Amino acid sequence: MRYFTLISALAITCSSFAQDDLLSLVEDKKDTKPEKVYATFKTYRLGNALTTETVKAKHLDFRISHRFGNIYDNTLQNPINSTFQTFFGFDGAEDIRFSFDYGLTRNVTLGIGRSRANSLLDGSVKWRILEQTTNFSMPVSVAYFGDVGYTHKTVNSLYQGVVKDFQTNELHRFNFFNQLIIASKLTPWLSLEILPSYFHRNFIPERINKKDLSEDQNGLFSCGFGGRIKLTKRLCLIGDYFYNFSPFYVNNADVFNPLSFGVEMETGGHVFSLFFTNASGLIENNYLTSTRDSWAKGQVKFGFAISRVFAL
Amino acid sequence: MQKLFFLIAAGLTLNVSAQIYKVKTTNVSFYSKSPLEDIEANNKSSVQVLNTTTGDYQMRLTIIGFKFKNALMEEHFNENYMESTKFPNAVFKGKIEEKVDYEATNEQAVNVSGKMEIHGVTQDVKIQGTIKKVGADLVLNAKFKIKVADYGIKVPSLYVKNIAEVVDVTIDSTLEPFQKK
Repeated sequence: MRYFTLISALAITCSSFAQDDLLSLVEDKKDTKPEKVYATFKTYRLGNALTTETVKAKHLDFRISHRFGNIYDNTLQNPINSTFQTFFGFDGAEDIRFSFDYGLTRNVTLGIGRSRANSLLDGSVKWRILEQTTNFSMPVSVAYFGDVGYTHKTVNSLYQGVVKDFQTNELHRFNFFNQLIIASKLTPWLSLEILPSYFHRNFIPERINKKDLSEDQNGLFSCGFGGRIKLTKRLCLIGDYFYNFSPFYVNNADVFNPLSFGVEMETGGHVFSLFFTNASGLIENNYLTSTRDSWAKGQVKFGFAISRVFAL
Repeated sequence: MQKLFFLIAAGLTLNVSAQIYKVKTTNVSFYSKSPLEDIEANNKSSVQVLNTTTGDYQMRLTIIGFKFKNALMEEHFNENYMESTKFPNAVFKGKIEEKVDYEATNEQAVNVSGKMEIHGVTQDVKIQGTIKKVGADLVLNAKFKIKVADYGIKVPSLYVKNIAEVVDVTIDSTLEPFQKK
């Protein structure tokens, strides 16, 4: 009989619980699908590196990016003087870029842009293949980014410094960039990403690493690392770095790996990225191979990007 | 032993007589009208339950289920205002104050008072709505206002012209009889 009392007591407890929380009575726990993680990053790009974020479907992201001159350069004769003469590099404009990225669907973005450096026109596609879930059953978001660059600079400057014993070829003006972006929003305030990349230039002038006599190649493997730390809802610390694997770029006294640090501010429709970097170029096709400045020599530039998203 | 059976039988009877209605179709929407822009979002993924014996009405709604026309607005809503990773649900638990004829096919005005939890803050609220029977289902409608600041949702001074201080919430639901499996 004691058991029965126990059982009935249990039954009563159960039913009173059900009365208290009607919701748990009807909710089917198995039905709930894992939610997709949103806003791993604030916008399309961190400082230099891209993110897994796409532009929302039928939205247009207009970006104006700018890279000023070196704030300081200890290879100059009188660096302090030139720092003030150029007002911390503000008189220089290493690169300026306008770009439009359009969200074709939720996960596919098409972009066009024009950069001053190398007179580069480019068309790109970013396709988010996998989306991270909040319960980490899918721990990362993965996106593919492909970009075709076309330089429209004069034939003379295209073959500058080259002994031209070959035919001028229109295809020499093209370069191709491919990248996988693997990102994870580890906590609401910390997101990290890894960006294995392959860059191919159809034509390169001969360049030799003075230290080990290795030559620059048309193809280049590199890997980027990036992250952001959210300080407040609208302000983040951002940073990224690219490592180039080809022997020409390793331990080279003239060409360096791009590194950037800065902040990112979101104000509703705009995102402002303000940062310091040694890279002169604004997109991969430029900054991966032509970063000739080094943090160690103080050759750091101020850069910014303003992104404005329009709902079309 | 006989007593035991009797008890169980009594228990079963009680359960059967307690009529439970569960959400069939629903739309919970909010509307924010401000000088610069009007914002509207719809949520079709809330769970609602009504116990017609006791008059208890409860709702749980996933914040991320609110869909906006402007997807960027939706992201900011979750990320900057509702903090939906931290506070994924809004919950209302209330009781209908009046005696309602749940068989009546005409609209009956009801007052539901209870506790509303949004953004981790719980407030006592009273919601006015209507209820009527359509076929085997119950149709519930309600319209009420929510003061954003009451639930600790901060709107930066830069956006006071974009986001209303008080938003209109509309509940439009059909509930069907629920059989325990």
